Amino acid sequence: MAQYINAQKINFSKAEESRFRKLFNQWAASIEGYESKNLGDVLKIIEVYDSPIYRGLIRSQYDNRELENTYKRANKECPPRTITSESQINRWKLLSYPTEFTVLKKSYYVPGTEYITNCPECAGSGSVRCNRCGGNGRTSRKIVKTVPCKDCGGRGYNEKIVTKRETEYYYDYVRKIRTFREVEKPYTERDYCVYCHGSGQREDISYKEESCSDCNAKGYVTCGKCNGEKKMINYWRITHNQYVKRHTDYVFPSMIAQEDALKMRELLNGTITWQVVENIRINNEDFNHAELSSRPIVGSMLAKFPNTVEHTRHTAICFHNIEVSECEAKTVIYQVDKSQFVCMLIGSEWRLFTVDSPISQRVNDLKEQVNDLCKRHKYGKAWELLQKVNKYPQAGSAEAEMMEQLEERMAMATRFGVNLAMMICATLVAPFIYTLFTQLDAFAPWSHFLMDKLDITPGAMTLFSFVIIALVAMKYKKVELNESSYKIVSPLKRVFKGFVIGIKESLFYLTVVIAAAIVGVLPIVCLVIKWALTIVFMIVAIVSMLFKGIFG
Amino acid sequence: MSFKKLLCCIIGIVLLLGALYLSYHAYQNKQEQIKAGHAIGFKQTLSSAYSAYSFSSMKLAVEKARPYAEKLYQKEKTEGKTKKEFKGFTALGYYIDALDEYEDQIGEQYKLAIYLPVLLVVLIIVALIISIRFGLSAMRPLSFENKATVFNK
Repeated sequence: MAQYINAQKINFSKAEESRFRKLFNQWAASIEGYESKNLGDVLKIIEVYDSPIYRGLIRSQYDNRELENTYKRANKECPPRTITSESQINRWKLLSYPTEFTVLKKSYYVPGTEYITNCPECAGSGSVRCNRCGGNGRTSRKIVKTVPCKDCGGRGYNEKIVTKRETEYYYDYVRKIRTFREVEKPYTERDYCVYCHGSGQREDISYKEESCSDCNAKGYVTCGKCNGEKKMINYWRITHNQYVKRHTDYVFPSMIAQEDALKMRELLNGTITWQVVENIRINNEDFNHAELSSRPIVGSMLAKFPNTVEHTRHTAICFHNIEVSECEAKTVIYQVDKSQFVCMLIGSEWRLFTVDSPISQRVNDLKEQVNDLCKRHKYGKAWELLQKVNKYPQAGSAEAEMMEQLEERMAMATRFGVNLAMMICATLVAPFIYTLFTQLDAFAPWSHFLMDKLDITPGAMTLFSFVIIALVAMKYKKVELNESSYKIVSPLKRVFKGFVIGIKESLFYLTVVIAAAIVGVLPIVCLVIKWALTIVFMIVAIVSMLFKGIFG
Repeated sequence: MSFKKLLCCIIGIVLLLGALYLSYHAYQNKQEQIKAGHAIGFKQTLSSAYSAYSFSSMKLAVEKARPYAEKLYQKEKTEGKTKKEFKGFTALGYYIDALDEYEDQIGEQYKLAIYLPVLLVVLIIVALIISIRFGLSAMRPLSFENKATVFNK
């Protein structure tokens, strides 16, 4: 049995200590934002342990054998049939088991099972029904001809005469102003032909019956399975599949916590040199835990695996192999500013793994400060501090998520500024818009027509304009903001930035609203909102009536 | 630039040009009317519209609309349609009805002097609701330990 070491206390030689301090200095210098670059020189080594890491690799050899009844062409003489049913075949005696790890997949015929019989496809007739004609001997061929469309006479459209109302501008000499009137004019309109889709041509489809070319109008063809020989050889085939399954596990020194061990696994999957210390072979399915469970390292590895190794039907487990490998490692307990930390030196090349360190402690302190600032609702300062934390390699997804949430909250101040500006702008511009709509009378003729028809006053349009602007202001979100508008530490500056954006946005939307009113889009929007409000009021009225009916 | 953005830009430019052309056309008409003495100046109309925010003009407008509102109230009272007194929300309802019914007699400026402060109050209420919503969201605890503080977008 091999010698297993579970953390044996040792002392560093002067050369080893110097190497360790140099390595630590390099590591501290590589971390951006960390001030103490000579950490390796200032730390005090408390204890050093020789604590190798062990890897257990359990490999299991599987052997799967499947039987299948099949046919082949009768192009040779058959040996005498000795096996007549599947129960007479012992799949486990037909082929030998592997003694070494083997991966292969092959098929063999079972001797003594071959005999000549009628083809299962044509039942010994040598011919089968033709697939193309379905046994009729005749097929129909599609003939497509292009002819002019009957509905439009090949033009692609139909003509009709309609009258249209048009606005005609003229100078009114009585009122001395330019004005307009509505006149009716006849027009020839072209209607797109729906039958030929405007092409003027249509497809004329006909079918011509002819003899089937596959079977020469006989209705049957030569059987493809036996090639017209009528007889085939029936036999049993065995598919032999050999494969290997692997399970890997690691045993770490007792001073390494479970969550740190998970991080170390990722490191160990890389280019680490392993030295095999023990190779144990277990034959067949006797995965006997009792015998090996008392063994150091091996026992703890086996305890994590099930008592029986799962396998499917017609599958045998030939043997298992437990290979235990060792990786040289040293655990160092050191002290910085009265606090103790642990690190590991893995492999002969001493790859440094810091279980905990002054840097991780610094990160934790910074995170505490972030929490404290968040409690006091100082999100800008917390965000600034979190940026420092995110520079350390210890920062992970939790820090990124926190950053996202802090930015969301910071953006709220900017959004508040945007909304405030929009409200103030709306209040200040309201009389101007109202005057523009009522006094200047700058609407297009069709706007006038729509407003008269839909019974919408300029006052109502002003109100609706501000409803639209208020809706836009409320929908303004972080994603629509520029990053430089909310990634600012001071909340007042964030509100101010938002205020500036709000003024710009208000002026833009006001211009859009005025333009929409003038060209006649706003009356239609007003109508839609009016209908929507009417429907909502009707629903509310119906629901209240129902409630009255039920409870009143 | 994507096709959607390009289309939006083209529609926007066409809208703006159309609006500018029609505004210019309307401005010319207005100038002609002012010269002929059929209308008052745009600056004068604008300043009177802004003065609608003042408390005194609102008071004047209310005084102007009061007889018409009371007339409507008396009419309904004699017909037996209402038994309420002329005060509070009942009076406000009659004022709104009077502004619609006697629009020409009350005048556009007085109508504006009542409507604009109402609009201002509505906007202040909306601003307050948004501020309260933001304030409540910002008050929710946020820390590394508390995973349940994810901000609801």
